Amino acid sequence: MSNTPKLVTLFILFTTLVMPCCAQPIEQTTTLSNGLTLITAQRTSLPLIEIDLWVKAGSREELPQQDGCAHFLEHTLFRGSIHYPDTTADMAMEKLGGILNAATGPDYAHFYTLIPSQNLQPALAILEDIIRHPTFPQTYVDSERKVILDELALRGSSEMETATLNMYVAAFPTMPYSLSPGGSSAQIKVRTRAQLVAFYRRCYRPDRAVLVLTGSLGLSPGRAVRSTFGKWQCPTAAMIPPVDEAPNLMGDTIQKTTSHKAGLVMVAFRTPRASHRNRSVCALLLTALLNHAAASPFDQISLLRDRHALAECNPRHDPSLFILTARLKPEDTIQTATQVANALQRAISDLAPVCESRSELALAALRLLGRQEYNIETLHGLAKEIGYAAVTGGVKPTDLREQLDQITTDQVEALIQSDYTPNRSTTLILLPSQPAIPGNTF
Amino acid sequence: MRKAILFLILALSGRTILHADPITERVLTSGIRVVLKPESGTKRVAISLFIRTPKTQSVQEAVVSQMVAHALFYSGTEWVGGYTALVVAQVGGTLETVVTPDYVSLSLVTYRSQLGDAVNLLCEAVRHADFSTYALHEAFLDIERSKDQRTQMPFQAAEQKVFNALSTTPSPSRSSLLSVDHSMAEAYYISHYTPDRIVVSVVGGFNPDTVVSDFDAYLYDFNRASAGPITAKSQSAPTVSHSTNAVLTIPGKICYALVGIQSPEVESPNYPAFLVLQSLLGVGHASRMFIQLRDKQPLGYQVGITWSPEMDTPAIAALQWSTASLPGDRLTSLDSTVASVLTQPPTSEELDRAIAVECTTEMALQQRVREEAYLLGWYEVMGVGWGFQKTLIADMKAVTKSDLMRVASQYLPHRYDLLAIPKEVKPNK
Repeated sequence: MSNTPKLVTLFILFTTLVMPCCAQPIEQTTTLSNGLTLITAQRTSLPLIEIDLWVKAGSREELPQQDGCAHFLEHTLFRGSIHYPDTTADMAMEKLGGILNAATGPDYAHFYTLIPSQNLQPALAILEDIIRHPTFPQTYVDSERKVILDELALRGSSEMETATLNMYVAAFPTMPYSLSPGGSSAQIKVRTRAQLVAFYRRCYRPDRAVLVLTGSLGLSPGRAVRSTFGKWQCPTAAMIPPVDEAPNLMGDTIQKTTSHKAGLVMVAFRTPRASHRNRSVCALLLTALLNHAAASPFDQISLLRDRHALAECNPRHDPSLFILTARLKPEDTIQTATQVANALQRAISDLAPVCESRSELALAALRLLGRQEYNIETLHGLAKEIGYAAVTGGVKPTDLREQLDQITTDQVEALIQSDYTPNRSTTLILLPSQPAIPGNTF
Repeated sequence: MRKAILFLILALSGRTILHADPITERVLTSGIRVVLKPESGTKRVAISLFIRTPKTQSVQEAVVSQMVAHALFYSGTEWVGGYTALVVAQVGGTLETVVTPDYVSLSLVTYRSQLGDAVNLLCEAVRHADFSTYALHEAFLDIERSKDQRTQMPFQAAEQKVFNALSTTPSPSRSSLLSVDHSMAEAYYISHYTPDRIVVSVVGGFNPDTVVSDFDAYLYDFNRASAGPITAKSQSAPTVSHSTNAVLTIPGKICYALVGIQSPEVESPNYPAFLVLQSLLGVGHASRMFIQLRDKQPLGYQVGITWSPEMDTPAIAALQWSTASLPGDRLTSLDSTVASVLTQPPTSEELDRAIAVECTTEMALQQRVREEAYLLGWYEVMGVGWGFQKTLIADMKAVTKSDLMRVASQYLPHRYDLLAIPKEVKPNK
């Protein structure tokens, strides 16, 4: 009995000094009575906290006549709330040391800031006011419209972004993913304040929100959250149900022109939804195999060397696309472009035998984990990975290693042979509208 | 007992005690200083090796300095190009060589399990450099490749034009790079790459004793006569006059307005106040630039200030917009916003905001092992000491309105304005 205090003291020393040294921050998930999900991850090396609020209010949730509302709303929420009129919320947050930022994707809008730990409570109060009590002043709806139009014009100059959207339009013509997460210029020009308010009322609800806090959180971050976001009460609203439309991928080729000096070739395949964890991680593993900096399978094919071939896959809430891209050279003809597209197809079908080698897969898995370790090295990166997994139903950063351990070579091979085949793909060829070689047009 | 249980509950629920591992400095047998910050909780390790070079060197010396730095990884008795690339990939795939007028740095990020290889790689590069014709040719190609890449990226090309206009060290020409031969490179290497001018910093999951003994094993006989301390640079005021007429044609469909401002060096007493000044102007959504150029008159989507003091570059205030936007004299608006501090001193609220934002930004730099290793090594090699970060945050918190106005009046009058636009856009847009 007399030894108990000593044991307790030793245990305290262990838990306070040794346990925080563990590599992976321990995530804790709580659901508040209003439906809001709170995920915390302690990392105590610096006195900082990342606050990242995710709302399932991305372009996926836009109904007809709401195209662009998700992105437009993300901009206007910062421009006036009950306690922070005009742009005073920015000044208030920045006086606490944090810069409030936001982004909109197909499955989410998220609002984030990095602040000194001691400012958690007031920072949450500002964010809560912006999210719960926006006033949507007409002046700012008009001025943000100009800003968004400029943003879209800037994005439109990115050939890759435009081409990727073209692929979604071709593959899922009637699904929400065929809408640009930023909205189209034509739609942004005509969106009204009333449409923004309608979208807000339908989508900005606690049961659709996930609040992620990472960093040096102190004893009871939950208390600070309950005293702010706990007051957020709204009736539950249905989300657009999961979409599982068969994609329009039947081995066809789309040809378009670009104002850039050189074109590109994209080949897209349907890829599983994020919540199909085994298959979606198989897809990620394939990107790690293909994008190997030192020994990429792309480089085994002479036509793809020096054409910056790249594999991209970011599993979403609903089925999305696995995309292979290669840059064309200014002198490339349409015939060369077609050969490049075939070479991209071959690069992935050639992977089937590679996948039989467990060691190749193990190395790819290490690269995937290495990339994730890099991503979560910052509090922002950690919160982002946690939040994205929460809104899409994907693999949590802490679970990736375990998920990878469960994957077999047969499963990877099966994914290639069932989904990533030429007759289940769409090819996009973009050639310069002003070709380097006269006559090199479609 | 009740108290003990209370402590136990607190410990389990929060685990708030910070476990900041101490930073230590060791000196190798050769005299090279090693700054160590072990961090339990990560397998990643970043190493930065800095060589201090004199800023006051001649143009020719600056060219040789570039060639020597880039030739290091193509030289040596054991390390040649392909093999080096393979080893770098094995040790994590990131290896960077940075050359500024003040220093050369070699940095890499690796895993704890491959730390021995990484140390070996860096030591071989520094110790066995031979500057063969092959190595110098590869160095030349590296430098030219990186220049080409910059000119193809519109913003970087514009940025480079501003750097060149405000820099006292001209960018090396192709012919001057090609003129560097073995004897010039070796002479520079022997006289400047000396233990007293080398600092190594290591941050991440490693055992300090093992790392120090690894470095010592490879560098114990790296004996070279001291090159002597680098004399402090003059802290005189910038001398470039305000320039407003420069236009650069860039590819693409995006336009940029840039205002370059000369900036103090890290050892300058003006450094903390300048950090706060640039934050006040262009960092955050309540900064002057954001309020004036995006909130009050939406002139573009991207607006802000960028400054990399560790690269010895000027601060650049920038505004980005698309060619599809309505016309407007954006460069004049940007320039007058930057200059506004001279006529409209900051309010207390503006100053508090800028200090708070900058202190968080400075702390956030310690999140990645790579950035922290770089900062620790940079502070140490520049003479302000690896403990500078703590001092810096305290100094920034103490910046007053009059400090800010003093620094503004010293640096802001000497601006270089540039409009970078695609061919089809008229300069008055």
